[in-house]
Amino acid sequence: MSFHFRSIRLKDWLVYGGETELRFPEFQDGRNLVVVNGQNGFGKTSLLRALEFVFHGRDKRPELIELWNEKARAKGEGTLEVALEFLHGGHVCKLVRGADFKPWGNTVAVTPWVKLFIDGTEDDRQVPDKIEQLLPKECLEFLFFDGAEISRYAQKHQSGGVRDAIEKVLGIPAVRNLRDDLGGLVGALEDEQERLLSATGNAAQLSADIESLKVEEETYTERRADLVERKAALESTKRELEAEAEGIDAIERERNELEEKRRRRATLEERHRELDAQIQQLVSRAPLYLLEAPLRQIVEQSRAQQTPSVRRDRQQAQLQVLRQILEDAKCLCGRDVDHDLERRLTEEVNRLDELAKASGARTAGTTGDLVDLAATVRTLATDRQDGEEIIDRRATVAMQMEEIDTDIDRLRKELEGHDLVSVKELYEQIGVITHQLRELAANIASVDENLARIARDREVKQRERDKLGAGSDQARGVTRTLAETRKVHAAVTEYVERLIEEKRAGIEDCATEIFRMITNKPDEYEAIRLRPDYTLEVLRKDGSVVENEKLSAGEKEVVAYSFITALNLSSVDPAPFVMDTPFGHLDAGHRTGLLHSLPRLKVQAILLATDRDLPPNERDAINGSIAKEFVLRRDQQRALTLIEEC
Amino acid sequence: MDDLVREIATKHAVDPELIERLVEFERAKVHLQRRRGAKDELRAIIERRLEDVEERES
Repeated sequence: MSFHFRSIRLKDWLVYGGETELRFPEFQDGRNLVVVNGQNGFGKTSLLRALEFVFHGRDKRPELIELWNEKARAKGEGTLEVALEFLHGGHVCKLVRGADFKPWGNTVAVTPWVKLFIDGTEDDRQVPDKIEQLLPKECLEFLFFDGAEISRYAQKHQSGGVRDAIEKVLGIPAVRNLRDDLGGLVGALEDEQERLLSATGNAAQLSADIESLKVEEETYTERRADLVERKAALESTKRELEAEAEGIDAIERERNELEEKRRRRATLEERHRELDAQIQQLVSRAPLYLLEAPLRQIVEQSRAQQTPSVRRDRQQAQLQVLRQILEDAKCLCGRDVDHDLERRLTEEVNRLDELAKASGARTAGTTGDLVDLAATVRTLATDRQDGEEIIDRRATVAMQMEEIDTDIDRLRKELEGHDLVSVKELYEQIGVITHQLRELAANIASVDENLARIARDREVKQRERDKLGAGSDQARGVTRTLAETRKVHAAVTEYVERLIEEKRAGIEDCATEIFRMITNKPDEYEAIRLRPDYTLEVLRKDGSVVENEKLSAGEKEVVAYSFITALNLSSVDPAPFVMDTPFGHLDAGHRTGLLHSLPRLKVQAILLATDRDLPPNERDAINGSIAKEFVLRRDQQRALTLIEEC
Repeated sequence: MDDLVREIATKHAVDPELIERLVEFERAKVHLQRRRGAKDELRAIIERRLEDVEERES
């Protein structure tokens, strides 16, 4: 490992009053983690800011005063200092940055300073440039990052500054500068050659031809750049339209689903009404059903009671008793039968006689009516339905209606606010763009053919002119250098393009590997794609893009972390990785995945964590990768933080 | 050496070490705001390489 920190010493820096030092362990393979535990407000972020300050601190007086420890500030005089010792490119480097504070009238004078020592010797020439070479300022945000801000790397669009920083980490600007410088050198050498050969043969004509070809080449090159730019813009629009069409497809599917649910609900509602009517009918017929059993019983009793022998015997017995009383003229109670009683008994005897005569026909009529009624009731009762079953069926239908209502409600909410742009219209637009893209590709191919022709013609002319250059030593030398420079320039031009592609592919692969290790949805998400502007996209298994807005805050953090890690690993000179409370929105699953990915970094990784970031069970899982652990202790009496080894 | 450099250098009939040397030179300068004289230094590196090759061949 070529670049890692050995120690950091702080003097009157923010919450770290007085002097305190953290000595990092030597890097051992597989034990690259350094954990600094601390509660909120104990100085984790101050430590991160110290690292940022020592490399690229600002010289502004108010900022420096703000960074100076409060207690020291109260004294009105002193020194603020951050000293970092690190190994870089086989050298022991020590970077010390600070500020001296001295009373000046009613205020404090601030003198910022910075010192760089390489292998124990101070190097005081072009220190800012050397620091920039050690760790470019734009790259700091990819190396020392605050967990609270990490998800901004998963934004839909990267700013120009971020894109430049990414390319700097990948070492692309140096190669691009080489390409441009070589292009300039080729031009300068051609001018020199032209001057040297101006009096020789048809050199002037050849130079004019070459110049004309160059102008033509420039025109075609500009045209090509314009076509490529338009093609890229159209491709981007096409992608957006496709995503929109896909979204509308989904909306239309949902809309169809909603319609289907509504139809189904109407059917269920109809069925519910039918069952309701059946239940109402059952309720209205309830007395019939209730009547059936008692009526049957009455009929049976009536039949039993109205048999002829029983009826005759009873009437005869009654008549006999009454006739005996009339004959004896004495009542059963022993009282004499008077005239009035005799009259009434005679009437009763006559009535019973009458009754005996008529009873046969009347009894038969009443029983017959009862039998008819019972038969009617029985007939009505036979087509009776099972009420309980109907009620159960109605409850089931009601339940299904409730479920459908929930679905309808959900779908209605999801569809709220979506306009009714026809997906057909969008696909028509996509079709037009596809056609335009084909035309642009054909135009680019045609321009490329012209450029190739010009290159061939130029080469022929240049060779002819180079031959003329064999005349003098000086011209021969320039011609030889020019020929070599042209070849190198062509090679480097190709190298730049291939390097960018290779780096991008490397980052994609690495970021995907880390992302899949951490994500909670490895069966759903397939990969991370890095677009030409370094914007990140998450791809599903079916190759479709997950819209940025559909990623949760935690998922964005995971995407950003995967990207930053991959970027670090793809860097020309991987630097230590410092993370301040990186688990802001992460759930336990994501956190565990991230922790397990840290040992894979192959660089010194410094984790500034709270007890919530690293609970004991999760800490145990990465125990084998921890080289050393520190704790930030707050001395509240002295109002300062101390760094202690665990 | 970077495989990509070697592949491209071979394709363009250029010494891969020369490209590496030139890239290294640019890396050392990339952080500078002004890279005055860069073209001259590149030319010197290329010419030195050509002289070395000539010397070896002679």
